[in-house]
Amino acid sequence: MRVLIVEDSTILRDALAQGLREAGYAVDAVADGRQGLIHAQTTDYDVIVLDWMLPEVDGLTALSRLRAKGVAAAVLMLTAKDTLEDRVAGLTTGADDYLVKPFAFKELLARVQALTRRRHGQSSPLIRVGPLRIDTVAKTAHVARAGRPGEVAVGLTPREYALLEVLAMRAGRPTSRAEIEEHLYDDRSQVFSNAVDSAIAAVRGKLAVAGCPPMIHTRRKIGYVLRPPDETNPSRA
Amino acid sequence: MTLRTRLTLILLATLAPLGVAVQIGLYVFVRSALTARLDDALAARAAALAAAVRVEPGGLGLDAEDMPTSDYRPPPRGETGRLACYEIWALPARPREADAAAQPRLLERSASLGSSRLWDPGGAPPADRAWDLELPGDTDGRALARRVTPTEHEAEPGGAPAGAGDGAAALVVVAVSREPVDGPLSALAIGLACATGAFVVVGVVVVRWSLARGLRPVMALARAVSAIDPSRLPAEVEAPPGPRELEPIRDRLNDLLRRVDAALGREKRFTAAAAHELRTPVAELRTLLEVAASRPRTAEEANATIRTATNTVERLDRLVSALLRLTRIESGRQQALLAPVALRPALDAAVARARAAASARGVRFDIDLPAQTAVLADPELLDLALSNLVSNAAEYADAHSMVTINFDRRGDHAGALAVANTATDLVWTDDAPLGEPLRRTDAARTPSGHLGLGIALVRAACRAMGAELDIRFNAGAGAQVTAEITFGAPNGAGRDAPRAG
Repeated sequence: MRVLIVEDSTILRDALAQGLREAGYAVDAVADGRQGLIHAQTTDYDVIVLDWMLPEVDGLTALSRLRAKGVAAAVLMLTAKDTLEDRVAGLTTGADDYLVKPFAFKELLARVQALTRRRHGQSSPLIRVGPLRIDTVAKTAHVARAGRPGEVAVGLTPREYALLEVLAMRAGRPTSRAEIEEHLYDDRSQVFSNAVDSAIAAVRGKLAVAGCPPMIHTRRKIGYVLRPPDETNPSRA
Repeated sequence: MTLRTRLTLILLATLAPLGVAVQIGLYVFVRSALTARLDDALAARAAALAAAVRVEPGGLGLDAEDMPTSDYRPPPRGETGRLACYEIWALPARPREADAAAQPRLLERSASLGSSRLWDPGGAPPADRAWDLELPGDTDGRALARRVTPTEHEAEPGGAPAGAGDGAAALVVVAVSREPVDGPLSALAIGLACATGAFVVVGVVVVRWSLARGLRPVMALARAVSAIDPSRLPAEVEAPPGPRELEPIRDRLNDLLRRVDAALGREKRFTAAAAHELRTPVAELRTLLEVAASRPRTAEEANATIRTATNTVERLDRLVSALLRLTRIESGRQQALLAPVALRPALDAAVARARAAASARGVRFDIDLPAQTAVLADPELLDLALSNLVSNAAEYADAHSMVTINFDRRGDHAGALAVANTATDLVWTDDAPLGEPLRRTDAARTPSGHLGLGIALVRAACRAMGAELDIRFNAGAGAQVTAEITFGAPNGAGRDAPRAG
């Protein structure tokens, strides 16, 4: 999942970026509204954490322009303005959520997770695809093996988990390599051409070790799709 | 006490004595008129009695046929109001000193007088005057005495020879009940008392009704003022149009509302800006520490977090201290103690404190200020103002630029200190944080972000010292910012609004 942070305070921006990266998000961070607008229009972010009082273009104006251009990313307004009028102004302009400074990082993280789920039509933090159960809060994946009690945890790295979550959020629908790449890697990452394929292979291997039947299918020239094992699979696994 | 009650009492207190005075005057006038009329009636009675006095050989006598005795009969019991009585005395012809035996001789007295006397012959005979007295039956009466001297032609034909009554005179004293005077006067007094009561009652009702009607626009205005929601002040008092006399009050109220609204707006903006200034470093600190604590860190990572947190806390401390000082100055709790202060050492100290920040950005200072220059200022407030001006210049001047500081002397302990620099990161804006119109174009390039607070502090310190702060911004001259403090300002008050150049 990819997040854009638009915050003029260097310390806050860096701390948020670090915290979100450590939580498994691909994070881009910029310092003013103009850069924020450029990034938001060129990358498909899941969530944009947007400060209100920004240099160049203030957060509210930037949000209004983003919505006018059809950018659908969930926006979490982050500001020191705490009056009812301010909250209403932020939400009516197109923000999906509002957080007043100072805030607990855990709360911000929970809101980012909730916004991410909402963006992909998921209401529960638990995503079930066949025997696979993904906990988007704990960032874990478990497999229920047929005929055996209990579940087996899948030992994934943060990036592998992120990949599985991207596919799980779009379960049943193909996701292109470019999309996966965009949601997995931020501007700082050096992405090799076979990075997505390698990650897919790694996840498939770990799912198989956990006893999960093949669920990640390749759609030639389209991408990948995560689907329960009992559904008809027209493509090769 | 309500305004209506107060005005009612004032009007009654003014009108009541006036009414009482009018009533007393009316009573006295009627009494005088009735008494004069009674005296005229007494005079007529006396004249009628005097007509019966005759000169007889032995002296004066009365002609019984001419006596109107029927008018002087004792009145029936209980009708003392019709009581009339008289005495007719023959007075000696010569003075008593000359003839001790010569005494007044009673010629006739009315039966209605009973045993009472109208005149004591031991005293001097009253001459043509009236007086009040008590008549038989405890009846208040009024008497009139008339001295009569029968002339010769009044002598009976064939009677006493001429000269028999030489110098003889009669004293006719006639008295009647005062009922014709006292009766109407009593009725008048009762009538006036009733009129007074009615006047008071009707007066109170009419006055209160009139006041209520007259004060209706005032009450409407009061209701409109009471209905104002303090949290949402209207542009003006919403009251129906009133009389012309209330227009000044309405205008003053509207003016007051506008000023209160403006003050509240300034207060709100200041509070919001101050809250933002404080919340940002607190948010930085909290997020920094929470993220750092979310998982085990290396010693190097922990040390980096501690350094950043320490810097943030120091900045927060400076912010809080500055806000507290600004609050103290604005509330008047920190008073200025004005005295001649050497400007150069104070400026050098401020520059020394900002030197590190300035050097890091390659900003240099060019100071043109004679060492002996002194201005009328408060040392502590002067230090506050200079520190903020110089640190702002060090922080917001273009990197590798020159900050020029010079002083224009304008009299003893008076003059203008100007701090000028170029600052392309600043713009002049109406969206003024802390009420100051300068704002950074890119807040991310500088760490502290309290330009507005710094200028607000300088302005507050200047205002407390009776100095003026003028900020000029010339976007066309390389974004030249000049902050000028004028010491010994003639009006002793800071400017309310800086201007853009």
